[in-house]
Amino acid sequence: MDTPLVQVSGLIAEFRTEGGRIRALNGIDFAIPRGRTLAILGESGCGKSVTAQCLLNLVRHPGSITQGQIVYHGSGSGSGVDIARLSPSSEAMRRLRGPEIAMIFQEPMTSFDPLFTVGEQITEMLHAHDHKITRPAARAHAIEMLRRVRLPSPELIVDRYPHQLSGGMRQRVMIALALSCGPKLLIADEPTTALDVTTESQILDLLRNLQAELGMSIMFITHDLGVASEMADEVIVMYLGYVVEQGPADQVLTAPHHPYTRALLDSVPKIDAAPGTRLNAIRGMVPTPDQMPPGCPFHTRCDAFIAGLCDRVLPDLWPVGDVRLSRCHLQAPGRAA
Amino acid sequence: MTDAAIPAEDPATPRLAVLSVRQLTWRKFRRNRLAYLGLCVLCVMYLMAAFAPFLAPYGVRETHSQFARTAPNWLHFIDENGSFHAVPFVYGLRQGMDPETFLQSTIRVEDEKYPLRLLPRGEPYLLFGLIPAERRLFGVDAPGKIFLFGTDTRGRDLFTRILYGAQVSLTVGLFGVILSLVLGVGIGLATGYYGGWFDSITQRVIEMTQAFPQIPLWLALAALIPPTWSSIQVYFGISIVLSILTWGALARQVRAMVLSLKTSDFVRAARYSNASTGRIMLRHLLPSTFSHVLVIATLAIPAMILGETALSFLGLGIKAPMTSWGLLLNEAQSVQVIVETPWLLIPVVFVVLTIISFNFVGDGLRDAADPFAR
Amino acid sequence: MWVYIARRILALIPTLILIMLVSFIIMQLPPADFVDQYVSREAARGNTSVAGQEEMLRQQFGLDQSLPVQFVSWVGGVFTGNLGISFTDKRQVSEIIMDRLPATLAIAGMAFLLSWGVGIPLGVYSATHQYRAGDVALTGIAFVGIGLPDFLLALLFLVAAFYVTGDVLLGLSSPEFVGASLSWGKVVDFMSYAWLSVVAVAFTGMAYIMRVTRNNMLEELGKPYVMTLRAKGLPERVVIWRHVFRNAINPLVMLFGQVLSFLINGFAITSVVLNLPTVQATYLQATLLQDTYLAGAILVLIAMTVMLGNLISDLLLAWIDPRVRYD
Repeated sequence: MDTPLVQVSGLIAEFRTEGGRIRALNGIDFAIPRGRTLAILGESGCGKSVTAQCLLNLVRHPGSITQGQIVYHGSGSGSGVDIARLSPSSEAMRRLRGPEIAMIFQEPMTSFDPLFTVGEQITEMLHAHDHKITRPAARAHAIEMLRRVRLPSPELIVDRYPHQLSGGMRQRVMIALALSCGPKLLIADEPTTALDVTTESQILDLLRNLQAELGMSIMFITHDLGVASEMADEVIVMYLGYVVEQGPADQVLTAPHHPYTRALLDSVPKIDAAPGTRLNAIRGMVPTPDQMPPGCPFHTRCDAFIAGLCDRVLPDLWPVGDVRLSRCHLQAPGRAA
Repeated sequence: MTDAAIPAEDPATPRLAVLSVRQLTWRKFRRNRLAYLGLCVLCVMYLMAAFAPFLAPYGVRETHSQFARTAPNWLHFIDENGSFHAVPFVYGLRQGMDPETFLQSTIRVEDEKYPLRLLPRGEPYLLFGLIPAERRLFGVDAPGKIFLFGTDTRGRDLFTRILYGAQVSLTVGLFGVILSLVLGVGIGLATGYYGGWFDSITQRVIEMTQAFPQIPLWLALAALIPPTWSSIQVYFGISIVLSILTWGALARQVRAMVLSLKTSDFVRAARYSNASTGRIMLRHLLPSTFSHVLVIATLAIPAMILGETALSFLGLGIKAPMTSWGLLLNEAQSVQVIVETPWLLIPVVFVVLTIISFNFVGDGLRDAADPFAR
Repeated sequence: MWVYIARRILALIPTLILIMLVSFIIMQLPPADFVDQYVSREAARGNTSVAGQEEMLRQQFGLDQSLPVQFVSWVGGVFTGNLGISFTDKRQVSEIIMDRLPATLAIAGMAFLLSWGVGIPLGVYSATHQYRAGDVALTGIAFVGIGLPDFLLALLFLVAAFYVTGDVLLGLSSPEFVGASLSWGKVVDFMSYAWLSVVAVAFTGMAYIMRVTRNNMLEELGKPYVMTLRAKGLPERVVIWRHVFRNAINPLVMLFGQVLSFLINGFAITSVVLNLPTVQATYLQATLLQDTYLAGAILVLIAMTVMLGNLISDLLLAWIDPRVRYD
């Protein structure tokens, strides 16, 4: 098994607020395989965006990475570089952003500087990482990237401003921008949430094709189970800053172990359900991070709650079989499942 | 297959409190320490003004002609021999020749000490203009004088004059703003809602008033106030002058908000349920614009206070026997005067404090009133 | 675009005439006109020779004609370049204004450069180091600057300078340089007087610019595109100055339009307090003395700069922000 592209271990991120220190991430472990897609699945507030930001060391005051490692093995130097150890504004970190790891964001409308043309935004990135590139070469490269993301008339689009493009086109531009320096890892933070379903499906197709062409890894963040099942090879499910389940996508999403994953799957409306069937919502509400429940974070909403155990002891992320992990007392080793 | 209802008493679900918008706004405002500080300072200032006669050791027109241009005569706890007095005192004063400059001036007599008296009888006055009273907060027995901030060229106690001056300086701005508010909000609501030629003409008029340079217009209008008007008439005249230029900006803001709210669902719902235009304007549109209007008004007050101070400083504003901080500064216009009697500039501190406090409060209100701002 | 500019300039004219009308009316409102005031002022000084000559004086100044005629001939004069004659000074109004203009522009120009040149970088620094020691200190200074009127600050400087040097720095030149031709010595002398007003005016201006810049920068720094820029691997310096700053200066662009009118309309009271021979000081005196044509001409000039300034703001905005386009 070749080494994963990125290995995250024990990652803890905290935010200092008026109410005290809040942990957004409580010791996350996962690995991003080479050339494949890992999906991070979870509701709003579970910490998935923070995880993405940690990978690019973009977490800023009042938040910070307080513990853990993020080892990136992409740049060929043997043991890899620990991103968590680098200062966010350091030159070493800056050089990783773009040529090694790139990110696309959720809101294409507000994620661009409105004062610069699309082409200028791409060529600026190229210049920042290769000082010697000439203007015409950079422009040509930008046009080529726009062509790669299947934009029509890229030589015209290159001189357009973001507000002159539609949402779908803007998202394609964002992808072109992210890929322009040939990164080995693309982090996609809910890239299709703000788009209509037709455009969404086109963007997802595009991403899959590009991955096949370029052989890059993708870390895909989403709250949409359908999107996750379409895109992901591996899935991790997060809840309140913890990883609660992990495994190959086809297994986790069809035969989940963790009660939370199970509840999520149950809540998706089934097309073949009889009309008038009630939707299954997960009871209760997600606690705010400053009111973390003791023991297992999910126990307040869990159907399989075991009094005296689940509200006292935090379950470890135990292996279930060869490739699955689950943070639930029901899957504790030695316990009959 | 669980029921989607929220359980009544789930120990893990946090209790949620329900607060009105006003309570939420107040809480957020309080967290802004600068704004809260500003509010406290303003409360102190306004209380000072309201209780001016009680707090002042002397009457506002009381002159001590022997002691013109006297430096501040402070309270001391430790006397010239180094001994401590539990009750602070002031030294006696008398006119004499200053041994160094050979000029006639007021000198301190170290043998005479006048202890501080609390609630002594003084010149009778009317508290709030209604309640007759005689006692003041503090003072010293005659012939001692307590000039905490010194006296002016006519021998009037500056501390007293500043307290009375607060009454004018702090309220002229308020009247001006209220006038502007009434005019501005009323016209803004009307033009925004009705539109049409009424709106176009009003917009041109407002544009014109805003193209007018502010200070020159204030000066020109203030110069118009006849010298024969009484002090009180001048006071209201100045308020009107100050408000003439600011109602336009308010009207434009309100109009912009009305325009965007006019097509919103809740206004349409009100119209369809046959609400009268007046009701729509008062009960629906007005509350939505309220927070913005409040912020603008709060931030307009310091400009007005500054305007009145400037006008009075130039002699075009408040007239005697009323007094304002600007008018007090009018006496401190020449270098000669300031060098000889620098304490006459003390009103500057009050002006600056007041304006800064209003700015803090306005900023804080603006942040607090928008619950979705970061 | 040019059509738009032409249209805006043409639209200035009716507003201008309207402003002239309003100011003319305001000038005429006091019951006593210039001649009456002049006569009573002279009488107060003990000179009674001019009493009884009111009619002749009025004819001399053109004040005997009916008001509408006065107004129309004035407007006509303004558009043909004849701004009238000052009653107090007996010279051409245009001559008086041109006389005052260099000093006015010099002081106002320096104050503007100082307040914007210092205020903007400090504002950016404040925003990028929010709540740290530097920002807190600058915020404190800014609040004092905003609360302190410039004329009072000028007065304080005047007093302080007097204590230190014994000189009363009123006006703009020492006696020996009055009327002298431009020389290095004259420039130095000028600066030794001018620094008072420049610093006083610039301080309050700088405080305001700093706050506006800081607030806008903070607002922009919270927007999503900033994270995209950082994720691109751009150096922080580039992110702040090439991108965030350019987005944050919108309101400053609007303010910039006001600079034009500030040049001849700002710090009016400071001018009076410090005896500066500026256009705005002349305006104040003319207003008080009812020197109609002089005051009126300056008022028109000020109004024009306000409107031109607005136009410049709007054009600058369109130039900077591609989302703003005028048809």
